[in-house]
Amino acid sequence: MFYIIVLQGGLTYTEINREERTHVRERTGIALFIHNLWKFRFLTLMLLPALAVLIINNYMPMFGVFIAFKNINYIDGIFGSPWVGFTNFEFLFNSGSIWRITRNTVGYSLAFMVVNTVLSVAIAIAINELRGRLAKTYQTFLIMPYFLSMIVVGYLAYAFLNTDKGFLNSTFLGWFGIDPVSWYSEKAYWPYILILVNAWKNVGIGAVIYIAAIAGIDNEYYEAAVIDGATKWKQTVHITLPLIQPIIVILTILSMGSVFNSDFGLFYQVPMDSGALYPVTDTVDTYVYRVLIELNDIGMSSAAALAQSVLGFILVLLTNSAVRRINKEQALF
Amino acid sequence: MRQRRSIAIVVAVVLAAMLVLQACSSNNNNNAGSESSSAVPSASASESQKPSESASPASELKPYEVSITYFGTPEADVALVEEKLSEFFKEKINATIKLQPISASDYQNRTELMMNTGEKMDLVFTASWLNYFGNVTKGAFLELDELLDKHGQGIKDTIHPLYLEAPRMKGKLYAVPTNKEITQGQSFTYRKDIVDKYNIPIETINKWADLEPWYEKMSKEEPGMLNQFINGGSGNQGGGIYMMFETNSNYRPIGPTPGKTQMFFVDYTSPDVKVKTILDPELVEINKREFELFRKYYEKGYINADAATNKSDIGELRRQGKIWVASGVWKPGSDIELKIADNNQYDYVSHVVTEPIVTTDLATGSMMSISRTSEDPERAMMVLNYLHTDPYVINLIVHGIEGKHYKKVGENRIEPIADSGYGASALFWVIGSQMLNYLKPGQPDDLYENWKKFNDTAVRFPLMGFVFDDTKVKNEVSQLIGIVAEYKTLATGALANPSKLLDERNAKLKAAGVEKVAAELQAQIDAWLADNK
Amino acid sequence: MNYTTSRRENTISPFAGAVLHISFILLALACVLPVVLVVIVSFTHNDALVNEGYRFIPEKLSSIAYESLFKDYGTIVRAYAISIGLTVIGTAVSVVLMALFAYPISRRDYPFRTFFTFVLFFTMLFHGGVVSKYIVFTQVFDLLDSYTALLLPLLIIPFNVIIMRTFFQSTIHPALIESARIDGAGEFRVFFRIVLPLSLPVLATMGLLGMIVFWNDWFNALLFIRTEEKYPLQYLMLRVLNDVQFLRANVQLAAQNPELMRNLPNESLQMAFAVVGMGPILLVYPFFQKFFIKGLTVGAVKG
Repeated sequence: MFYIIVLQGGLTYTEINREERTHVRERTGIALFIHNLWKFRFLTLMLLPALAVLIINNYMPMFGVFIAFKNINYIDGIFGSPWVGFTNFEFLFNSGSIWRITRNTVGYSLAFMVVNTVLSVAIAIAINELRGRLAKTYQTFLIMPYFLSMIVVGYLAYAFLNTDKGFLNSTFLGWFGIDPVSWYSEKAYWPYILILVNAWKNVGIGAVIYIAAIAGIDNEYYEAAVIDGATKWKQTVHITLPLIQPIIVILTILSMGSVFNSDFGLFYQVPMDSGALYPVTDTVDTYVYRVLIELNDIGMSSAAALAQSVLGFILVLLTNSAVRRINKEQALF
Repeated sequence: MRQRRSIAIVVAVVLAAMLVLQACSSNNNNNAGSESSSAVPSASASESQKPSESASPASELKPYEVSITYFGTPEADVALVEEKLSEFFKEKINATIKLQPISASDYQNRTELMMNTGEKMDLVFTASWLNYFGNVTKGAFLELDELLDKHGQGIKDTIHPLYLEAPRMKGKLYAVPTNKEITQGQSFTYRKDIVDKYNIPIETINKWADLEPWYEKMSKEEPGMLNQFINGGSGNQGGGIYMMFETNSNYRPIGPTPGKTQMFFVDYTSPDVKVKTILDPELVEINKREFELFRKYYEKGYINADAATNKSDIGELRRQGKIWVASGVWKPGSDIELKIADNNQYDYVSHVVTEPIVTTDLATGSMMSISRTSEDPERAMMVLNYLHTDPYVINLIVHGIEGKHYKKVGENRIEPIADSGYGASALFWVIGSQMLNYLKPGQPDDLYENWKKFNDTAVRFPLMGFVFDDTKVKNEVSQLIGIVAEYKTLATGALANPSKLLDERNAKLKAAGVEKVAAELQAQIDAWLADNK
Repeated sequence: MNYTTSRRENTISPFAGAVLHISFILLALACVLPVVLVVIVSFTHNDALVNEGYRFIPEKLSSIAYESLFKDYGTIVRAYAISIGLTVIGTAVSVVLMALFAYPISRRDYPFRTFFTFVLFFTMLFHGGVVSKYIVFTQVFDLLDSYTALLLPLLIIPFNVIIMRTFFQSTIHPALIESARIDGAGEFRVFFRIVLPLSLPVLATMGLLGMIVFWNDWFNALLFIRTEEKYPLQYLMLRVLNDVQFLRANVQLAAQNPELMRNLPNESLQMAFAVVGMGPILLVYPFFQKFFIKGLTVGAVKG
């Protein structure tokens, strides 16, 4: 059975796949839109349920973004409360700490991105090489930290770094004859500590995606390479990495959107909210939390969130455009 | 470009939809807004049509469900208690009760969410530390004066007058405090057996410096004990009650406390109400002296080495017998309460070091208000009145059902039944009149008499009833919060060179505008005093 | 001539293998030991915790934490059932819906591709906030105190959808689809018969990630559930831990009412809560992994 979609002067499906060549009367604007809508009605139908969820869950509540520009009182509610322009943003942007918290947030986000991607990919490649039950066991264990809530991680870190009873101070450092350090008062160590804890928690689960990606690579590529006498290393660099590049690129672009956000649990619980460490552990999220837990202003917290979103959004657009220029296929959109 | 077009389309559609929604709803809301602002007048309008409302039998009232939203961990038998309460109230005022306990960490989030979304609530627990005054400004609660007059006579008769003065905002009352001890003093609490063993003259110990010789003695004679426990890892203030200014001067805090740190003070004994900031030389001197003292204690090992990050509760150490003295709050019967809290292991004795004053914060520490979204505020007030006057009702909600959750062992005494499904969550301080609660094992018979006496003799803080409106200085306050948080471990003694760090902190506070806030505070105080002469 | 090299011959050198194994053993220990420690702490007597901190071999063991936890046996079992139900249903529906969305936007010939990708992506960054979501859910849709409210927010995770799309794009060759269409298959048939079976690795991955998200979620329960009996496990467990934190941060409140601190769970009990909350998913994962790894080896597309 030959099933060809023929619409009034439209193209057959196979012919559409041939780029640029068309023999049809050109359709533009609304007519083209309707034509496409009908032509691809099944595909469109497919995504409708998910779209409905997105609308209910995300787009309908979108009006809340306005809260950032209002001074909400309960009597007028969200829709009736007065507009106050950018007043709610002042506490954040005029704050003496703005440089510090932005630097921390962005710095850590970028560091996390690089460190975690490198480690996750490395682990994924290695696990694929090892194969067998042992590899599966390793993978199971590596994922475990992801399941611990940050409160518990904070307690664990405390058990490690506690001044007098912590593992490091009372046992480990003693082995090397180093004096105990008051970890929660010395800020120099914390960038490393936080990067380490973040990697420990997230690298295992991050590797899962890459493992799945590598598993999808056709074995024949490797077979051909072996015939050509390529070493494992060469295979990795010339086959594995390029073939999972799309995933790496997409994940990077997506992560750009959250560069101005931070993992609140990580930066609040793990340093035990220690004041002496704020210069290196205070991020936009912890700062806003601390201020708003006292000031209780929904407009201000909304403003902070909006600022983070907009900045992240701009970054994504920029990164996406850059990627489009290099390789159109791998861009987000 | 297709990409840009998609973006543009989505953003445009979203914005347009929102603006339309906005326009429609603001019309509706304007109507709703004017409706709600006339809610109280209409309630009292219907009042005038039924002059004998309060005495009318239940049959004249329409059935209504009064919901009580309060601060407490949900327990297994809440439904049973709710049933019994509904039985009682159905008979009296044709109302059923819906109990909505919300646990500590969720309370503020959830109630403010309900306020923001206009969800129906009737009686709502609120307090100064739950942003009561902020919520009043935003219009969360109904004015109660008229309702109190109509249906709250019992409350007015039994409650201390200062209790009805404190929760006022611009002269109007928005909540009714729980009837209990209206204030608290600050004290040093000692283990009785230690005091007896070493003949410690606790009456003479009035500030932290006075403890020094005893700390020294204890570190030699009782090495297993910890002299001063500080858990700086919890809370912004560095944990614990420090009483630094209270034990060394007549200055008491007023106004905002950024990061839970006292920053603005007035002399409560002086007729002249002048605001001093923490930068004032006299206060800086006290501050430095105390911080240096704590540093000395820390270096000598009198304070626990992990003071800066320790998060445990002092109770855990106390129960192990390691604490012999601690600062705390005091009211009649608090020593016994402490003994009970420690499973009756040790006896305690306290010496009060600061005079109990009735401040706005303390008097508004636990209150019930009526939500703007209540559909029958009068019924809610009637229920509240019963909670303040009827022992059956209040004990039902606090202790549960007799026989099932507790045993009655005397006229006014009970013994709670452990693990009975109700009664484990501490509700006595949350609702109604605590003075009507049945006495629990260990509490003396004359507890409530002592409280009444205590309340009557409490000194009124000159600025009681005054509330600071921070709208004009929100940015400065948020800066101050940020700065204070960074230096909070200063108070634990764990940082070397506290005086230098203190100067550093104060310089930053000055730069952040602390004096501007002080000026605003003073202006508001002056205005309030003028109005309330 | 065409001969296939078996994978076995393309293995790494024993030396490299040894290095890798040792590295992984160390890594695995670094990851699993803290979890083990949490379990041990939950079995440690609290006095020992206060006095000597966390130890692998504690001074005093005690199962008192679990005894008090399971005293209320009925609540825990019920909460488990709810969590498991939500997780299973949620994950299943979520994977299907996400795949149904990811596939069309992965097709290069679908003209609305960019538009829908953007619609999806926009929601990753911009949110209306908790209050507006609450209003939509409870006032427009009457979902207060319902399980739908717990499922709906987590069904579509844009991040995962985009990963799926990337997978579809790179592993499903357009020619495959094209030839199927020419042979007369409708879009749905192509999707279910060809695309899905080839995508088992990514579906399994998304299933796993989805499971974790549903299992761990407590925030939606906080927002939407009002009846105590309807709470899922993670919420109940975390509520306890959060209450402890709250009372510790509000020192004044705790000091004024020492009774509040009396029934607070101590650290040992808190760890027991954490174990109960996360235990199940850790136990389930290995089983899931079997299917997942099998799916991995099926994933290759033969040109």
